[in-house]
Amino acid sequence: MKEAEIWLNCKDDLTRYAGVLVGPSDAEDVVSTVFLRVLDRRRLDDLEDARRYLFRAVLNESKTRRSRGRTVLGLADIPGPPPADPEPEVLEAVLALPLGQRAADFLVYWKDLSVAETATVMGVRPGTVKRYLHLARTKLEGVLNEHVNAD
Amino acid sequence: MSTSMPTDDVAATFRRSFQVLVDRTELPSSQVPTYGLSRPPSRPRYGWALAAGLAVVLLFMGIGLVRNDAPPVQSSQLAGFRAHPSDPGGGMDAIVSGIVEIDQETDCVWLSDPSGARYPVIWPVGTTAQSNPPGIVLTSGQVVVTGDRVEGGGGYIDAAASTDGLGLEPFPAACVQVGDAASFNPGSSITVTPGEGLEVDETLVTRFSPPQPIGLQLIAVNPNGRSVAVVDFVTGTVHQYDPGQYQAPTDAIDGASGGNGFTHLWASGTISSYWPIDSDPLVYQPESLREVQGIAPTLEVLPAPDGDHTWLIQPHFDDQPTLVELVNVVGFELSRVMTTEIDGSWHPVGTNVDGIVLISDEPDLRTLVVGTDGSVLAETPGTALSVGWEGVVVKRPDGSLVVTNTQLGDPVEVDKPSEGEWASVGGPMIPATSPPMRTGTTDYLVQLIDEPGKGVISSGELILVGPSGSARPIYEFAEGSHMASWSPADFWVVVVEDASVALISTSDDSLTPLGELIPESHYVLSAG
Repeated sequence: MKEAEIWLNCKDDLTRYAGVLVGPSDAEDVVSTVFLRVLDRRRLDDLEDARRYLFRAVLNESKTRRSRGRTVLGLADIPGPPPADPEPEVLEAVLALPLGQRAADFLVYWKDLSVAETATVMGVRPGTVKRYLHLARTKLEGVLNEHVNAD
Repeated sequence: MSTSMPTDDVAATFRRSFQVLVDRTELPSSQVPTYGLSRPPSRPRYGWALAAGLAVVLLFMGIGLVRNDAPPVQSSQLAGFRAHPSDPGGGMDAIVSGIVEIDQETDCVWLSDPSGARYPVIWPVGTTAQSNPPGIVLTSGQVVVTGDRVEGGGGYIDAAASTDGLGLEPFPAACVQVGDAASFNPGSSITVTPGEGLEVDETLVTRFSPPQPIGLQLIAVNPNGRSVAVVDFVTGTVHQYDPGQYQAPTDAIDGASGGNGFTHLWASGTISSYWPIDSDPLVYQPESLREVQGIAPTLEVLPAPDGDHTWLIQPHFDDQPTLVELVNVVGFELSRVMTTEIDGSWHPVGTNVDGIVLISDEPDLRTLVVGTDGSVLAETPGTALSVGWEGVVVKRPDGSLVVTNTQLGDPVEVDKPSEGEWASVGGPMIPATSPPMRTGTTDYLVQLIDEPGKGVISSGELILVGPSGSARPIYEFAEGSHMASWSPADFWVVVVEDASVALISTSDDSLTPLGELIPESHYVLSAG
């Protein structure tokens, strides 16, 4: 597959993925940075699985930015008016999840990947993905239960 | 009675939350990038991002002009010095800033940032280097020397790609410590503030080169001096924080634990939780602090794997029970979740999402799981040696080893790969009970020690135990203080022997020695 085709096939998914990891405002910058770096080092069509490589590169770049800036995502990082759904506290809890957990949840719940596929994309072991999913679910269940009980 | 949220609702909530993020994320245009790359148009409301993006494109176009065509540019007298060979115009929109370091031993030229991270540098076109005395000669003729602060337009980019794209020789391996290089724009003018000195010198002990940035920290303390050393595997730095550089407890530090960026230090029953350590801490005590006249309160603090909750354990004293408390420190606001008392003398081994695993040797060897609501979920004869994500490794009273589930059930026998006695690897690095290490994965770290009479400081083998009962030796410990723990992504095992630190890859068992990183008089108390 030509590099142009790879870009066209991956750019939207990569940018959405980056939006979940670093927030919508920085997503495009992350993907552009990753793409330029990758292109500078190798030809994408030489890679066995360019899509997987790029997804992993986006996660790594997001981690690098986080470790430099020590930033935590919050509602203020979402451009536009406050969303009506889900509740702000719930959305804030999702945004506050550690990067690895958010990545795993996105790939499983949004991209409908299996645990094994998610592990391959993230470059971690399946047990790690299970742990990320379990931790995130436990955290979110707690927040949701607080809402249910409050109501 | 509380209502529990069905699991499907959780999945649906994740999807709705991601929908918000996806909907608010602008997608790049379909314009196809090539080596005459034109970056996709950016958002007008984020002008800085647009400017940065275009700057990257312009730089990249410049890189494209020389890519694979220009011969390698010879470096100057300093082997680690690099400068742009030409100025195609444009550049990155960020500010590159830091303290210059010229290392005469390695010939590396770095910019150091306040975290202590060192970046090799690509200087503007026309910049040269001199070796005697060592300095960087700017196009203005000004000579920059070690300790000077410099600032100019540019950005931070992958070190290998930065030199490759410009047709420059790669940076010497010793000069690349964090993975990225600081690159001034080809035509950038540089502002110099002479003689500020290295801001990081006061806290910095040493630097090292992890094989890749790993989100792992070792926390070592000098118990009497109250000095804390943090070994950071992301920046490849060891910082030593002395009292005055962080809000130190007023008494000798009893212990430390960490994980998810937190550092918890405790002294005389008072806990200080830092994120990061040079920020203001959250200071608190157990709800019921056991105080015995003439004896300092004894406390052990374990972060729960979710990063928000922390377990506080006050061991048994005389005939008083063990006190177990679960608190929440998320957002740096303390809330108390649960407090319970357990008869007898119990010490923590590790935590998982179900609760905390405790062991006792009075009167018999026992292992207990206490849930987050304070209830005892399970108990079994034997001593837990390691807590994993999906279970616990328990050494039975007869000396055999089993892997159980999180409720200590469904035991699976572990075959010994060699002679020796099963033991934990969590410590002690100091002559006291050491806190357990990070709960990492579905696998477990234990050791087979050669001389049981010497306890866990005996020489022996580090064993990776799998959930199915498999056991694989991955390292040989010499006699002496040693410990092992997981990196957060579970791909590495960090091994500490006295002051030496090494990483073992769990994929191929390869060993990366990182040298003696633990400062003198400091003892590793936590890895996470």
